[in-house]
Order: sequence, then C-alpha cells, then structure tokens
Amino acid sequence: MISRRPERQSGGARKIYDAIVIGTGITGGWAAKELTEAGLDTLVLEAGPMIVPERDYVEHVPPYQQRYRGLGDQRQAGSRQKVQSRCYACDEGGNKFFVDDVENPYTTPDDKPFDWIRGRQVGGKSIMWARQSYRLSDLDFGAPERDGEGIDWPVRYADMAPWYDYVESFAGISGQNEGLSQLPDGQFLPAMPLNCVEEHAGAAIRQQWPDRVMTPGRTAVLTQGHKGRAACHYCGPCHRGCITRSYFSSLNATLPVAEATGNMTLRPNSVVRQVNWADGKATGVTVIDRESHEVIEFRGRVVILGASTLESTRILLNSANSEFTNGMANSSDALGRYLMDHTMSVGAAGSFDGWEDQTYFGRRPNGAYIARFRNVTDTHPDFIRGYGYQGSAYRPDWNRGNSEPGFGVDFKDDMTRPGAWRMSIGAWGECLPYADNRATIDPDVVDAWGIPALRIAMNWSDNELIMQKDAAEQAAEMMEAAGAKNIAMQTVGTPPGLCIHEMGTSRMGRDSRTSVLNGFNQTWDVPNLFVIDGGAMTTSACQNPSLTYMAFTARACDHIVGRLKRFEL
Amino acid sequence: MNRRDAIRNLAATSALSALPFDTLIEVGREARLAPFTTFQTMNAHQSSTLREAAETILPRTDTPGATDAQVAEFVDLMMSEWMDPDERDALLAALEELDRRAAADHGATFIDCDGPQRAALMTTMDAEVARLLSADGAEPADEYVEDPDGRAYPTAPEHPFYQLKRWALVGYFTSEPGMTEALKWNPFPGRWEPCMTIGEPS
Repeated sequence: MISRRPERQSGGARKIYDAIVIGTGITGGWAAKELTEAGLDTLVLEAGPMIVPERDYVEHVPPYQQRYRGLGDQRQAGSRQKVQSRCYACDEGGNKFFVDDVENPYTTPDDKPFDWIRGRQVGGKSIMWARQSYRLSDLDFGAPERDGEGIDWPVRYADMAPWYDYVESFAGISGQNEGLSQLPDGQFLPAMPLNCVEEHAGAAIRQQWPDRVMTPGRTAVLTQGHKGRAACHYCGPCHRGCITRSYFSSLNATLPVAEATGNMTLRPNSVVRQVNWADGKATGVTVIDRESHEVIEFRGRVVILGASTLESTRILLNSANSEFTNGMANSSDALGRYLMDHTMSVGAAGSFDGWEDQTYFGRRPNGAYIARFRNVTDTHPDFIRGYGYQGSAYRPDWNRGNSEPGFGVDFKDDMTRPGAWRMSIGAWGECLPYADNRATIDPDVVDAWGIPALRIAMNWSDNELIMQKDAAEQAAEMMEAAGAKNIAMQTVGTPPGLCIHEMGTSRMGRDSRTSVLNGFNQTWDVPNLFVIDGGAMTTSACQNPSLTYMAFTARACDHIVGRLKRFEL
Repeated sequence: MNRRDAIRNLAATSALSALPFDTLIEVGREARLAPFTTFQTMNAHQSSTLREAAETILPRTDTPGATDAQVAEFVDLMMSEWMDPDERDALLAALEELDRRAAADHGATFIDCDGPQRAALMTTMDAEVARLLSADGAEPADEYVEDPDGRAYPTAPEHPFYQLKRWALVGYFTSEPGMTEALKWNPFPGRWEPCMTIGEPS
C-alpha cells in the first residue's frame, strides 16, 4: 500500500493526488479500479455528467413508450447530432449517451470524411460499445517485424497473455476456445451457442476451407452470474444500458469496485483543458467545469490519459509549452499521426431455404465470428494483414413486410411469424498506420469550452481497399458454399471513424524517435505521464480492440504502482 | 458535483443489484407518453383515408387491427414532428392517389368504397410495388413501372402504396396492441435458446 501524503500547502490548501485518471470509459474505469485497489489516492475526471443507471438506462422502455417508437428524433439529430446519429446505437433511447456535435466540433478536409463518434458521460463509450472481445496474437504483435509495415510493437503475446487472463476473468467474456494461433483462447464463460443455420453454415464453410473457423462471438456479456453481476436476460438493446449489469461497462463493473475502496474521487463535468508540466514532469491538469466554466487546477504525481484515442491526443496537442512546442510528449512528432480505424461493412448476405420449423428464443446480444484466415499461414499476393467477419443468421420480423407482397388478413398473420432464414456476414479489416492519417489542432475552431478542436484527415489506402474487395468476394463465396440463395454482396464500406475503433495517434514502440509511448503506455518524454486508451496501438490488427485496451491498462497500472512504490515516478 | 454526491450516486446504483430481478427489470418500464389527442397535420378526410387504408392492410382479426392500434394518430404525429416536408407531402399525395384511383375505378372516394373495392385497388398497387421490388434486386432497375395513368415510379420506396404500407407496418407493430397482442412480444426472454422447433413449448 502506498501511504497517503498529507495535503501540501502552496498558497491555499492544494491537494496532490497520487494519480489523476482522465476519462471513465473502458480504460479510465479500469485504471480507476486498478489504482484505487492498490491504495492510490486517485482523482478520476470525466468531461461529461454522472450517469445513474436507475434514472438514465433506457433499455427496458418499449418502443410504444418512446415518442417516435424508437425511430429517433431525426429533426433533433439533424441539428445537434448529425455525426453521432450515423452510429446505429445513437437511437431514440440511447442518443443521450452521445455528444452534442454543436458543442463538440471538429473539422475534416472536404475530401476526407471522418465520423468521430463520442460519448461524454461517466462510463464513456463503455455504455454503448458493441462488447465484442478478442485477443490479439503474435500474428499481430509481430506483424511489422515480419512484413516491414509500421514500427515494431514493444510487446509480444507472451507479455500480454497474463493480462488478457486477468481482465477477462474480471470482465466476464463469454466465448468458445478454438485453439487458433491467430485468435488465442481465453478465460471464457460459457458461449452463446450458434443457431442452427449458423451451425450449418460454419460446418459447410469449414468443409470447403478447413482454415475458416466460425465460432460464437466472444462478448463481454455474462452467460452466468459473475462477481455479483447477473446473467444476461436477452432483452436486446444493450447499448441503452443494462440495469442488471450483465454486460461489462465502467458503470456496471469497474467504477463500483473503485468506489468501494474509498480511494476514488470521481469528478464528472470536468473538461480537461491541458496537462500541466514543470521540470520535466507532469504536475497535474487544468479543468474547465462543464456547467460553470470555472477553471480549476488539479495536481497529481502521475497523470493518466484515458479520454479516448483522439481526445487524449487532443489534450496533449493542446498542452504544448515552451519545452514541447508541438504538443506535450511529442518529441517524436508521432503524436496525432498513424490514425487507424477498422474497415467495416463489406460482406455478403443471402437467404436460406429450409429450417422453416426451426427458430431461436431470446434476443442474443451477439452473433457469430469467423476468425482471420488471410496471411495467417499463407501469403496473399495482393495485400498484407487480414480481416475477420462478424455476422448472424436470423429470421426477419415484420420489418420485412415492405419487401414482401401482400396486405390483409393473411399478410398480417404472416407478419407475426418469423420470415425465411437469412444470414449476413461483414468484414472488419486491418488498417495500416500512415503518417498522413493525422489529427492536428484546427487553429480556427474551438469547442463550447473554448478549447481548440481537432482537424482530422484520414482516408483508406490501397491495402485496405484491396483487402475489402477480397473480403466481400470471400463472404459471397462462403455464403454460396453454405447454400445461401439470392446472395447480395456489400462492396462499399463505411468511411473512417464509423467503426469507432479509432486508434494509434500516440502509439507505443521501442524507439522514442518514432513513438510516443514505451511498452508500458508511458510517454518517452514525460515519465509520469501515461496514455492508456487506443492511442497506444502500434497496429490495428483486425480484432475489436477494447479487450486489448483493458489488458494494456491493467498492465500499465501495475507498472505505475510498482514504480510509485519504488519512488521512481 | 462534489465527491459526496458522486459517492451517493454510485452507492445508489450499487444498491440496485441487491434488488430482486423482477423488481429490477421493471425500472424504466412505466408509461411515459400521454394519449394521442387531436390531428395536427391531416384533415378529417385525410385521416379517415389513412385509417381505412391501414385497416385494409392490417385488419382486426382475433388480434387488434390498425385502427385499434391508432396507426393514423401515430402517423399524424410523425408527419407533424418527425418527417421532413418531402416525405410528409409524399405520404399525403399517396392518400390522394387512393382517392384518384378509387374515383377512376369505382366512382367514389377511397373511404366510400366497399371492402372488395378497396381490396381490388390495393391488389393492383401491391402488384406494381412487387414488380419494382424485383427490379430493385441485385441489378439496378432498368425499367420504370408505370401506373395506369402513365405515372412512373423509379423505385419501390417511391410508390405510394409502399409508403402507405410502410407506415401501417411501423405504426401497428410498434404499438402496444401490435407488440403485446399480435406479436406476443416478450420483453424479458430470460435465456438464449439457439435452436427450437416452432410451436413446441420453449
């Protein structure tokens, strides 16, 4: 345990916290838990308001108790959430968990659209995340070393495996071990089994391509009671909250543990303006109160940024000073560069004859996953790295009614029954790090608190686009092998940002000349300053990244606690 | 907010998990909306036409119909507060189109047609949409479908009957009678059963 220091007197009473954590999303929540459990007196700052589940969660409000039946207030969205409403989860119940685009502006070049989806409240985007949780492997950590694209990761799977074990065991991930080198097994709760058409499709695909493995999605949703949290009751709309705490979020899991230690001071409505610095070290942060606009300074021995990839980068860019003229901890000039997201949405869908008397029960917050098979053991001639698919088979509900003929008694009766089986799969593809995919400070735009806004310039390059073409073709071939009819290929993906896997703008590496962070998420330039969110990612891999952020955060916090104990920070 | 408030908030939420499951899942399910009152956008004839059209598409059977589910009242709300002007005007034009066809075929307004006459009108329009839908398949539509008066609709969603059907479906199957009685929607399935035979007790 680390002894609490008495408050220092400097002018007025000015407390120095052991640690200041910025952000309460996936990574900030984990840092709060880890540091407070280790006994650190920890200030946790959140830019947005408090969320009280019993007041704010809306997953159980039925459509007929929503004014627009769940279709959303599109006039309000058009004026205040034009960007945010492009995310499926920003719906009539859940749009309050997304930022107001007018208060939170950013700019892009006209020819480079980027959808920046943000959540600013206690819990951050961990409230609305899609919960898919996959480990990276040495296929990913060793990729730059192998193919020469990008800088080497400072870690390998052996470094991370115990931390994946650690975070999975607490978070509760349901899934199925498959023994795949490219998608390592984990500490799983029972999987949500595939339905009969998925089972059929998975077997048919594997028969034709033995290296293409379909497995139940690995998801941070409990299939049995776990650490005081209840099993999922399969109501459906997870992105609007979960009163039974059945999926992992900061509010449902990490922050209550941090609070129970008595070592956390959680301050919502705290918009961080900048990190302060003196004599080679971070001294704390300057905050603007979201509501009063009062400017407040907080001091800490360690400052940990978990504000989300681009927000943490923005804070560092806005923390330029006489020592760091182009942004704090940016001697490498890598800060803001190498922005990545996953390509998304290309794939294929088709209908299935048969299984008419078979259906499923429950609204599964999950689907099927097809592990990466490109450039695993072979070498594709046209692109490096790879992609994985998420998808599901399902029987459409009444929403299909507009694409089927009919009206009247029989039509109505038909609409109350499940439609013919369909299956759809879409590819999440790796994005390479490019120096020109970059966030900078826009000199002409500030947010509602007067803080300079970001200008984000990103586009896909050949490797991503060629890979997407392959992913769409392979999806169609696999659907055909599974026996699907009327197969439609989706060949146009979403613009950068919309996958909401933005990462890499404060990447970790082995060399301070080419990276912002070392392998413990510690900035090379400022030893008591850390970035724990997706900014740290050296490559994007193709797996949904949040689980990896959790593992890196827990590992970084262990490092921080050790160093503080030895008075090395 | 100060630390004390923050703690109290979190403490309050932590206490929730101690509540029985049946109590927990009732949180947030209380009635939130006031009943529909007056029509804001549609006049009496328009709302009657929409009501009868929706009822023809989704009639009362052993479960409630579109009229019981107040589809016309809901659509008026959406016209007044939700749709953009083009969408609203297109839907109002779809109602006019029903009358135009009813006058041409039966010499009456749509609401003055009898059941078989309404069904005949809709059968014709439904077939037009069906042709457009097949043209909307994998290949781009290379032919326009023309109605008897030579009006062309390049895609199915622009066809008046498609729009009427869309709002009838949404208005009905998201209503309380539609969800609870027709769909027998279960808000808390409680488990995931990946494969089960329809009709067998789950």
